[in-house]
Amino acid sequence: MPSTSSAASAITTLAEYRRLGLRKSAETLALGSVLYGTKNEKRLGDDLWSFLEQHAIAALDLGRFELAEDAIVRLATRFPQSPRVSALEGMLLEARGDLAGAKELYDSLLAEDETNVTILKRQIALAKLMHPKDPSVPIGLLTSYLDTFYSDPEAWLELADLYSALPLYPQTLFALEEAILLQPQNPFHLLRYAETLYTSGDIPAAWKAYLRVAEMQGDWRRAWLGVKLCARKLLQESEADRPELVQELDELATDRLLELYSTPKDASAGRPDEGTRKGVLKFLEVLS
Amino acid sequence: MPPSTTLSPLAHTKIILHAARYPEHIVNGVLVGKIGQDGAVDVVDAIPLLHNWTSLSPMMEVALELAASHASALSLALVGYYQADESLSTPAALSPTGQALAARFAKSTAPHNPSILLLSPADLADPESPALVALDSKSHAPSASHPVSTPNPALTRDALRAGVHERLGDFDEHLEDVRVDWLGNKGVGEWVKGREATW
Repeated sequence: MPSTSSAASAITTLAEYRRLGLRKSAETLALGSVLYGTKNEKRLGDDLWSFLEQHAIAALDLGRFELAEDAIVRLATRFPQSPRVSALEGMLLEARGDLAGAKELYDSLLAEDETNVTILKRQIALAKLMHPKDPSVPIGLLTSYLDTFYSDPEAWLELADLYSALPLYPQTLFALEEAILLQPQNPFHLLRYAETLYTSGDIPAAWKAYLRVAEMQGDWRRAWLGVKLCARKLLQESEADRPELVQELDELATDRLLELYSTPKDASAGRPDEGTRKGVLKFLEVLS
Repeated sequence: MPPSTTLSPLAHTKIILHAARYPEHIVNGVLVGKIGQDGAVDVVDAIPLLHNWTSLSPMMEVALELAASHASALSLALVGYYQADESLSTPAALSPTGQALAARFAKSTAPHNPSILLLSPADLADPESPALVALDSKSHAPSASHPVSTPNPALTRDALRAGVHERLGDFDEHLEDVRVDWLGNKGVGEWVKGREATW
């Protein structure tokens, strides 16, 4: 019999997962099973519906189709004609492999309302599944969506994902630039931009982008490692406009990384993994 | 003699656990071991690298450098690469980054072929199958003449059932939490050793 305290902690943890958008399906289902279909559901109050949606999606991820269907039927009963619930119904069809059925559902819903954003996005996700070797199909749908809904950073990131897998770097960078324009304070977009520039071979531009990220988020190992990688290439291939400046910033990056990999004074903070620490010292050319 | 790949139970378990740890992501990693004079690849261990932004190279480059140092300190080398896709149904293919790495490994293991492995999800249900297919390092197509084996595939299935994948950490996770032992994954190693002792 689930205890009341495990129910309370399940409720808190699941709410945190929803807040952060974490897709930890196995944990979600395990925690949710303490609540679903039990008296503990009452303790969710109005959050019951978000919980059911979260539980249904986790169930789909783990192949528990009957459980998902059960939760979705409850949502459909409470919210008839809801696009959000229709999206779940479509996802159930997709998960079961009935792609044609999902397509029919999305097409009919869009015929009723062509601005149904939730379903437009499901249509794009379905296109990825139905055309695994031809990304031009989902890309076409997504660019069409963005023509209308251009203030959607999530959609620009999805477009960057699709282009990046091909890879088409100029298009990827363009999509990331749109996301950055919409959310200039989000360091993840800028980091991804820096990493894409590096991958595409444009080291001088990657260097500048990485420095902006390090400025924004001073304790990010990824950013400082990127600064080191770029500095190395710029100095080795004599591509730097101002090599002395690159040298100085390279030393700054080394210092920051040494700090980030040193044993903290506060023992409870946990020590860096020793194997990696040795490797990083070598990488920084501090140990020969 | 055509190449072959043999994975130790530890290496095989780590690869499958990495795929299980991040089921909605593409995951990749490198293989550590030796290549014999006859081209037979003996994979002693696997090091899981990324599950995020797997199409981007800078963190991959850092991870490779760190992994290569780690391998050579053990008198071993990086002998190949593995990738597992996020979709069970669409046919898996080597990503462009994977292709670039395959070319890079082919150069470093020449004249022998490196071991480029792709998860074969359809074979996961068969407990006797390693569920990994080797790709030709030039054409990147599944190689009919490069067998992949592991002495105890059932051990990996046990590890999945026991939830050991939760103990595994890759380089991406290390970048978020500097305590993560992605090079050694001693927690997984201990579990495998404990199980091997009972066989």
